[in-house]
This record gives sequence, structure tokens and C-alpha cells, in this order.
Amino acid sequence: MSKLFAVALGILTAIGGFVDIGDLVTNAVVGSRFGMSLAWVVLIGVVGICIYAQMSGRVAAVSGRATFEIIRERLGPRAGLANLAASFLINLLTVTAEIGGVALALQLATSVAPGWWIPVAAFGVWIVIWRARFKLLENVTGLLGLTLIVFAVALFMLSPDWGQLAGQALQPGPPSDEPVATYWFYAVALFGAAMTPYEVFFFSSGAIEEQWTKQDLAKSRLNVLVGFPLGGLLSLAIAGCAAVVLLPQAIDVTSLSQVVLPVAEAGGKVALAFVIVGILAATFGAALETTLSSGYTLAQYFGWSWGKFRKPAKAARFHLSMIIALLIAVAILATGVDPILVTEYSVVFSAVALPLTYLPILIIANDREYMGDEVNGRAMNFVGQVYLVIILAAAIAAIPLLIVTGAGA
Amino acid sequence: MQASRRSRAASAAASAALVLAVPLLAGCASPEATFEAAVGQGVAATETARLVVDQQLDERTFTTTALATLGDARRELVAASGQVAGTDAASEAESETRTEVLDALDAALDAVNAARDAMASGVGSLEAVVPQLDAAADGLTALEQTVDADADSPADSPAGPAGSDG
Repeated sequence: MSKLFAVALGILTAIGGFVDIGDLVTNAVVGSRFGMSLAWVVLIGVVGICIYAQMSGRVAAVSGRATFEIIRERLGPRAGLANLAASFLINLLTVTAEIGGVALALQLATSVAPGWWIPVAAFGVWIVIWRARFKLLENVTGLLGLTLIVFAVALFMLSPDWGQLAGQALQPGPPSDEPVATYWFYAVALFGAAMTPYEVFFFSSGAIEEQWTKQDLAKSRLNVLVGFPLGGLLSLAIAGCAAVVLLPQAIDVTSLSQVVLPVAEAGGKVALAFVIVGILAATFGAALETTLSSGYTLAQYFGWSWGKFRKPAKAARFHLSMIIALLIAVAILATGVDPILVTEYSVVFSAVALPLTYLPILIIANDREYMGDEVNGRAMNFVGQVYLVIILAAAIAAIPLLIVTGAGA
Repeated sequence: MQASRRSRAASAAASAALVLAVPLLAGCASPEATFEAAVGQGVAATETARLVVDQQLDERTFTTTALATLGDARRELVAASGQVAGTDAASEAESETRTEVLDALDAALDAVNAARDAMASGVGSLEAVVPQLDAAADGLTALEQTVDADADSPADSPAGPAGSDG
């Protein structure tokens, strides 16, 4: 019974933890401008993150070591440093976006300007990382994030023309008033949002924090293969709500306050309360994960002592690097930059950094020295390589599309 | 070794140039494109305000959330006005269009401000703001069609893209 509970809890937190500020904003923007015509990208992104997350979880469980430690050892310090630099900078941008997201969610609840909430949010993230146990912070934010299911409920309550939504999803392509380049720019952004690198680092480091062994592989597969696709459905529901309420009124989403309008339209104050709690939990949870990922990547590359399972005094540089990451995020937001803009750039630059994140995982998952009998099978390698081609195409296209479309303007 | 350093420096410079190129290229939009984008931004902000005011009147949203939404709508309208006001007109027709767009955005800003005042401080009635928002949204939507037509018409385009200060 307790095993069943653990599996259910893992799946639920995977669903609740799947959506972050990047998914919230990008799906709403896409729904409000392109309807459901980019739903196929969410599908591809979710399958991709499932493949690579379970691969990195398997590497951690079998080898007993996190991804970055092995990347440096297996590929050498130079290749490892390139991987670290790209991943860390993108992660820092994502930390900034998530802290901004927490502040924006608090603004929706209080109408106090986000600038006042930014230091509060950063302090909250730091104190939770400092004091709370790993399992507790993961489960609480993941379970509270489940309230985002209200997007799916709202979509049903709006009684949309399902045939029209399905038609948009099944006939990919830009609407007549949107340029093709903009459509592909948002396809890349959506892909970057679904496959954000920090998810993989957090997942593999979390496996070490929770002391996974080979016996935990089935549970981790279930978490990923059930939890992430259901999280993907949440992403589609966010886009669907925007497509039903905002697209017909020519409301292009540029702020978080617009993302919740369809939910309030469908379910009033009760639904709005749920969605604000959900956004707060999702962004706060992702802020914890990205901040931890900053510490994980640096500590694992440089060989520092790391982990929530150690007392802070026993992993001082790990904790100090996270404090510095948080301070940098606050400093960036203190310039007055729009957190939504930071989010949009973070998902696009995530797409640029994807090959550096995922190629080493594929290489290590095929190395018998680390994996023994648990190396990738032929089918997994085939799918993994197909995804590397897609990832590479997205990475190459991201910057030119960013320039050509004026960041999707 | 030196070649490798040069290559690293060149790739760093290229990356910096790429990052800088985005805002620069965005700033090189033609006046028609700037007007079109600003009107679209204005329509979205005004429709957002209209929707949230309806929700507030129907008690489907919290006042805090509605105020945040109106604050975001106001920020969008101010940004759109700033873009248009900072655009040089290359012809009499463009100058007229700029004035029309600025007037329409000002009307929308007045309506959004009135909604915020009514909601936050009880200055005026929120019901009375609804027709003002409707008129502002309709005005911007009508203007959107005119500006779209101007942007699509090659005859109205000047020989080269006129600069924008924004």
C-alpha cells in the first residue's frame, strides 16, 4: 500500500511540477495567437522530455552519480565546461524568470507591484532550500501545482467548439494574419519550454538526493511516463483556454494577468483562486528546482560537496553558489525588465542550449562502464538520435528566427 | 593557440552581435509596421480591460486581480503610444496616421485609467466606463483595418524604411 502511495505521489508531483512560468506564458501566448495549431510541438516536446528525463534518471540510479559529474569525467573538462557554461547561463535566466513569475502571481493576489515581491520571493526560495527537506519541498509544490488542473476544468466549462479546436490542432500552420517565421519562432519557443534543460539536471540530481537504486527504476519510469504526459495535457489546456477566450477578441498575451482571464471567465472567483495558487506553486516550485540546479551543475562539475541530504555547513560552496544565483536573478529583475520578456527569452535560449544538454546524456547512457547492462537498447537509441536531430534543428533555427521575427513581435 | 584564442574572441563577438541585433532590427521597422503593431497592441490591451471590467461587474474576479490586469493594460498602451510618438513620418499621410493612432491610443488609455480609478478609489462608476471602453476598442479596431491596408499597400510605402526613434 505504501509503495502504491509512493508511486501515486510521484506521478502527481510530476504532473504538478511539469508546468512552470515558461510553459504557462508560452502556451498562453501561442493559444492566443495561433489557436491549437502548435499542439503538435507540445506533443513532440513531451515525448522528448520523457525520453531524456528517464534516461538521465536511469544513469543516476545505476551509476549512483549525477549527470554533470559523469559528463566531466567522460567527456573531459573542456567539453564539460562548454556544457556547464551553456546550461548554467540558461538556468540562471530561468531562475530569473521563475522568481519574476512568483512576484507576478503574488501581484495577482494582492495587486501590489511585482517589484516589491521580488526580494520576498527570492528570500522565500532561499529559506526553503536552506531549511526544508528535499522530499518535502518537491512534494508540497508539486501537489499544490496540481491545482492548475483548473485550466482543464475551465476549458470544459467554456463549452468550446471541440471540432474547431481539433481542426486547428490537426491542421498545423499559421493563421492568415501571422507570418510563417513567427509561427516557427513560437514552435521553437514551445519546444524549448517543454524540454527546458534544468528539468533533466534536477531529475538526475534528485535521484541522488533520494538515493535511487536499480530497484527504483520502474517507479521513476512511471513518474516520467505518466506524470509528464499528463503535465503536457495541462499545457494544452492552457493553450486551449487562450484559444477559446482570448484569440477571438484579438487579445495577444503579454502578461500573466491575461493568462488567468479565461479561467475567471469560466469558473469565477473559485476557479481564479485555484489558478492563482497553482501558478504560485508552479513558479515557486520551479524557482526552487532551478536554483537547486544552479548549485547542482556547478558543484558537480567542480567536484564540490553537494546535496540537500548534507547539512549546509557540509556543502558550503553548493549553498553559496545558489545564494549568488538568487542575488543575480534579483539584480536582473531590479533593472525593471519585464519578467514575461525574460521568460520568453529564456525558453528560446533554452532551445539553443538543448544539444549541449542532451547529447552527453545519450553518450553516457550508452557507456557500459557506467551503465553495465542498463545501457540504452536499440529502440531507445534510435528515438534518442531522432530527437537529437530535432533538438539540433531547433537550436540552429532559434537565433535566426529570434532576429527575423523581432522576438515573435 | 593564438588562432584558437582569436576564434573564441570572434565567436564571443558574434554572439554579442546577435544579441544586440534583435533590438536593433526591431527598431528598424517601417512607420506603417510600427503603427500596425501599436494598434494591435492597443486593441489587445483595450479588449483585455473590457473583459476584466465585465468580469468585475459580474463578480467573477477579485478586485486585486482586476487591478493588476488593468495596470498591465495601461502599461501596454503607454508602451504603444511611446513607440508611435517616437516614429518619424516620411509623408503627410503617415503624419496623419500617426496622429490618428495616438488619439485612439489616448482614448483607450483614458478609458483604462477611468476603470482603474473606479475600481481602486471609487472615483466614478465602473458601469459608466463600459461604453467608454467599448468606444475605445471599436475605434482602435476600425483603425486597425485602415493601418493594415496602409501597411499592405506598396504605393503608400516610402522609398526606404524611415527610422524609428524607439
